[in-house]
Amino acid sequence: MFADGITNAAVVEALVRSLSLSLAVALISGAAGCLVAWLVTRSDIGGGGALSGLFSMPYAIPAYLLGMAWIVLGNPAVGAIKEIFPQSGVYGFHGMVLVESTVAFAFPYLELKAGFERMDPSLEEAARMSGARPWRVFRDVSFPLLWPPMVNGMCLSFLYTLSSFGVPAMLGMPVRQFVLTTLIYSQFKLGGMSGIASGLRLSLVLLVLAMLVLALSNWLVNLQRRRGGAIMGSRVSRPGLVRLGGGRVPVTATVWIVFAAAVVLPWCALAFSALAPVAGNYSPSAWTFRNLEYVVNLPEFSEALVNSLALSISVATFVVAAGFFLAFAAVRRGSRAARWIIEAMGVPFSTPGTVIAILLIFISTWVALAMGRFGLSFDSPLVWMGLAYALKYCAVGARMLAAAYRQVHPSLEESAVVSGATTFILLRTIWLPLLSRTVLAAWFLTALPMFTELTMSVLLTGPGGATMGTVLFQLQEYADQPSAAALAWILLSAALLGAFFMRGRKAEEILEAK
Amino acid sequence: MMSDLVLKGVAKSFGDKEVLAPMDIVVADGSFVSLLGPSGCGKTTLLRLIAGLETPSAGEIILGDTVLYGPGVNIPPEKRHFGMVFQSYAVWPHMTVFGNVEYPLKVRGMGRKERTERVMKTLALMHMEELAGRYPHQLSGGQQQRTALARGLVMEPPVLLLDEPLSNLDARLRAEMRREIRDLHRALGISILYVTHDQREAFEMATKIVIINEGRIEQEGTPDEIRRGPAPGFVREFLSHE
Repeated sequence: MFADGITNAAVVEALVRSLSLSLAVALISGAAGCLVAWLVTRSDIGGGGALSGLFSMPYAIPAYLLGMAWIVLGNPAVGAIKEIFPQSGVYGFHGMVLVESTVAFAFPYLELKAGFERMDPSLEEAARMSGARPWRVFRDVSFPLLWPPMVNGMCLSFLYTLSSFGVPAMLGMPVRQFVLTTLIYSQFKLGGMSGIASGLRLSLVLLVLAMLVLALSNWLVNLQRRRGGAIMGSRVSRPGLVRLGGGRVPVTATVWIVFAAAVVLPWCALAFSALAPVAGNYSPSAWTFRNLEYVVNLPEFSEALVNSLALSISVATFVVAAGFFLAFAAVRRGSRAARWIIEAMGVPFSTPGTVIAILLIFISTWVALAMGRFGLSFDSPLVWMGLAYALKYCAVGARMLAAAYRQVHPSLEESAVVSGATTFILLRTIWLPLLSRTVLAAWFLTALPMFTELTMSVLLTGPGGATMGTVLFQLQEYADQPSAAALAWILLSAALLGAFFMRGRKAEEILEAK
Repeated sequence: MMSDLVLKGVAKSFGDKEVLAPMDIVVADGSFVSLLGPSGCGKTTLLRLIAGLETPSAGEIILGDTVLYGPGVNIPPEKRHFGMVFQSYAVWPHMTVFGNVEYPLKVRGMGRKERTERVMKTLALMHMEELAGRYPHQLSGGQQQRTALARGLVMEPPVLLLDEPLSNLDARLRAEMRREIRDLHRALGISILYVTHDQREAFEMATKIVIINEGRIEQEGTPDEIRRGPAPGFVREFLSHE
C-alpha cells in the first residue's frame, strides 16, 4: 500500500512507535498531572499559589525549544549531564518521552484542576467527616466523580504527542527513530509527487487515529457536563485543605525540585549554551554574545523575522476579528450558521499540523498546475503558510470570545439597543470595550504559537519562506548548537511574553481556548 | 461518660484579617447549641474549626478529655468522630442512599451484617427505609437532606455538627424538619451544634443560643433568656427583623 520508496515494515514501526510514545506520555503526564492538581487544590503544600500559576504556564511555549534545551544537557558528545543518560544520550524513545511528558503535563493538570475547582468541596469533606483518610477520600469520592476530566486530560496528552513533530524530529530522527509525523516529513523531503502521495496516505492514518481519540475526548467532556449538576457546588466555598503534616516539607521540596529539574534546568542550560563560545565550554569567563550577533546577522534571520512577524500579526488579527463577529452572531444573535462555523473550526484545530500542511501542499500543487495552464504562476509559500496558520488557530479566538460573550448579562446590550444603537455601534461601543481583555488575550494566544510555529512551516516553506521555526530547525540540523540556542532564547522570550499575558487566567479559561 | 465540647480562646485569621476573635464556648453533653448570626459573621468558619476542616490561629478545642486542637496537637477531621451535615447536603451522587449512609461504618471496618442493621435502623429513624436503594438524583431535596442527616448520625457521634442544613428547603419542609431534628435530639440524647442565620430555627430547637456578629460573640443564653433580655445594640436590632 505504501509501496513507493517506503516499506510496510517502516510504516508499521513508525505507527507502533507513535502509539507507544503517545501512550507512555499520556500515562506519565496523567499520573503527574493528577498528583500535582490534587496537591495544589486540596492540600496545604508550600507555595501552592505560585506553583498553581507556574504549572498553568500556557502551552504557548513550543515543545521543540524544550527538546533543544535537553539536547544541550544530554547530547552524548558534549552534554552537560550526559552521564545520567544511556549511551545515545537524550536521543531516542526515552528522551522523547521525557520532553513530551513535561510539556503534555499541562493537559491532565489543567483538566483536573478545573474539575477540582468546580466540584463542591463538601462532597470530599463529608467523606473526611465520615472517617476516611485523604487517600480513601480520593479513591471513594474524588476519583469516581472526576475520572472523566482525568481521562480526558490523558486523551489530550495522547493527541498532542501523536501530532507533535518538533520533539520527535530533534530527538528521534538523528537516531533514525521515526514516528508518523517525522516519517511523513522525511517522505515529503524525498520530493516529487510520490513523496507527496505517500505523505498523504500516511497523513490519513494519522488523521483517523487523531479523530478516534478526539471522539473519545468529546464523549468524556459531555459525560462530565451531564453529571455536572450533581457535582457542582451551589455556592463556591473554600475547601478545607488536607494537612500534609510531617510530609509537608519533603513533598513541597520534591515538587519544586522536579519542577526545577524539568523546566528551569533546561532553560538555564539553553541560556548557558547560547553564551558559550563552543558547545561544551560553559565556563562563565568565556561567555560571549557572539552567537547572538552571528544569528541576528544571518541573512535568513532578517527574512524569517519579517516573515514570522508579518504572518503572525496579520493572521492573528484576521482570525481574532473574525472570531469577534462570528461569536457575536452565534451567541448574541443565535445565528445557526455562525454556531456551525465555530463548531467546524474545531476540526482543523484538532487535526495534526502535519496533516494540514500535507493537504495544503497537495492542493497547492493542483492549483499551480491549473494556473500554469493559463500561463500564470503562483508559488508564494507565505500565502499557504498564512492559510495553514489561520486554519489551525481560528478556533482559539472564536471559542474564547464566545465564552466571553456568554458571560456578559444581556441587559448591558439591551440597554444600548433601547438607546438606539445599531449593530455596528453596539459592537464598537459596548462589546469591544467590554471584551477588550479577552480580545487581547485571544490575540496573543494565536499570534505567539504562529510566531514560533514549526510543524507546518517546515513542510510549507520554500524560497523566500523562511520563518523563525524553520531557521531554528535548520541551525539545529547543522548541529550549530550555540547559534541555535541563541535563536531559541529569542523565541523563548516571545513565548514568556505570552505567559505573562496568560497570568492569572483560570484553568477553565485556558481550557476553553483549547 | 461526659463529653462536653469546650472551646478555649479559639481564634482564626486569614492572613492579616481576623475572622474570629478569641472565643470561649461550651457545648454541654446532650445540649443543643445554635450559633446564630448574619451571613459572613464567621459562624460557619467556627464550625469548620471544630470539625478540623480549618486550623485555628490560636486556642484549644477539647472534647471530653481529648484535646482535638491545642499546643502541638491537631487531630485530623477523620479522627475527630463528629457527624456533620453540610448546607449543600454533599450526598454522593454515585452511591445509593444505603451506600451513603453505610460509608462511615465501612470506613471504620465494621462487619457487613452489623453495618446493614445499623444503616436500616438509622434510615428507619429518618423514615427513609423504602428509599434505601435509590440514587440521589431520584430524591427530592428533603429526602437528600434526610440522607445526609442519616449519614451524620449512623456512627452515633458524640456531637453532630450542622451547617445551615435547612437553607435550601422550602418553607413547609423547613418547619417539618425543624420538628424532626428537635425530636431526634431528644430521642438520641447526643449533643448538637447547629449553625444558622434563621432565628426561628435557633429559638425553636436550641437549648442554648450563641449570637455571633463580625467574628465576636454578642450574647449567649437560653432562648428564654435572650428573648427576655436581648443585649442592646446588635442583638436587639438583629432579632427585630423577622
